Amino acid sequence: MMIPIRCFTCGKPIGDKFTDFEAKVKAGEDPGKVLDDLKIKRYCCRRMLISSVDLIDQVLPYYAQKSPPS
Amino acid sequence: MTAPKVKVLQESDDEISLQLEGVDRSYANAVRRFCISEVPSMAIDDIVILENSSVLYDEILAHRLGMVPLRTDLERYVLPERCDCGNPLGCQKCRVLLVLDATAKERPRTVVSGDLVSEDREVCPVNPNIPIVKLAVGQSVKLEAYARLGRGKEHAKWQPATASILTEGKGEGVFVLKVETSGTMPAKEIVARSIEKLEEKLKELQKEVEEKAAQ
Repeated sequence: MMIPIRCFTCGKPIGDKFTDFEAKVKAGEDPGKVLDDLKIKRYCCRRMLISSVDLIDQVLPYYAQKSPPS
Repeated sequence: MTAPKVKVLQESDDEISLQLEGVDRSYANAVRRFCISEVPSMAIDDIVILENSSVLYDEILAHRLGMVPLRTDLERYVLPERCDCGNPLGCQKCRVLLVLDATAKERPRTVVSGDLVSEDREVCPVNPNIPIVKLAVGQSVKLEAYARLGRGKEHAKWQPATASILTEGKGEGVFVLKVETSGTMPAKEIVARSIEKLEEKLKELQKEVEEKAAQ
């Protein structure tokens, strides 16, 4: 649903880096290089960002219509 | 054996490399392991959810909050089991209250770790930009979170060192200990506390053995 806060394997906090990573990769930068720049060295942490898909963005529109405006 | 010697090979914000000389491999390895599993750190443990209309279930929200690394001052707080308050809910010395109150009013909003308001300014999320949950317009999250000290062996969220590696150095009986911190405390403090905890445990063991031998 959302990016996990820590790496599943080693526990390094990676949640804060995802927005940055996603924006740079979408802008056409090489994912490997972006990860190097973010100082994510181990492959356990690198796969967290590479393989993450933020599904919450696809779910939210349905709830936005459901919840009454306050 | 020569007197123990320590040399700092490299030090950065989140990492430290130490060269250990004149210590046993077993001792160096115990220090490495204690960095991960025995040095206490702060993390959210108990949560009272007052309102949650977000798309994440209460337990997922609670788990995410638990994983957020918090700044830890080990001089100021004690482990709940070592605290003399005897109160299951804890006291000023063994728990910290953090409050989260967020509503998406006009546009969708990402609730981040920086939105947590702590009663102790020193105990706050290490990084204020960790996303917790996204809210659609009209949704809100309201909760009270209680943080406490805990150890890595109990749950990985209390692990102060995210990597603790011991490698062979140059020469006999020389080791290199590399410790990476999650940000809760400086890497060099983790190593210092680790040694402190190891000594503490050895003293307990010694006392136990002496008592048993005297019987």
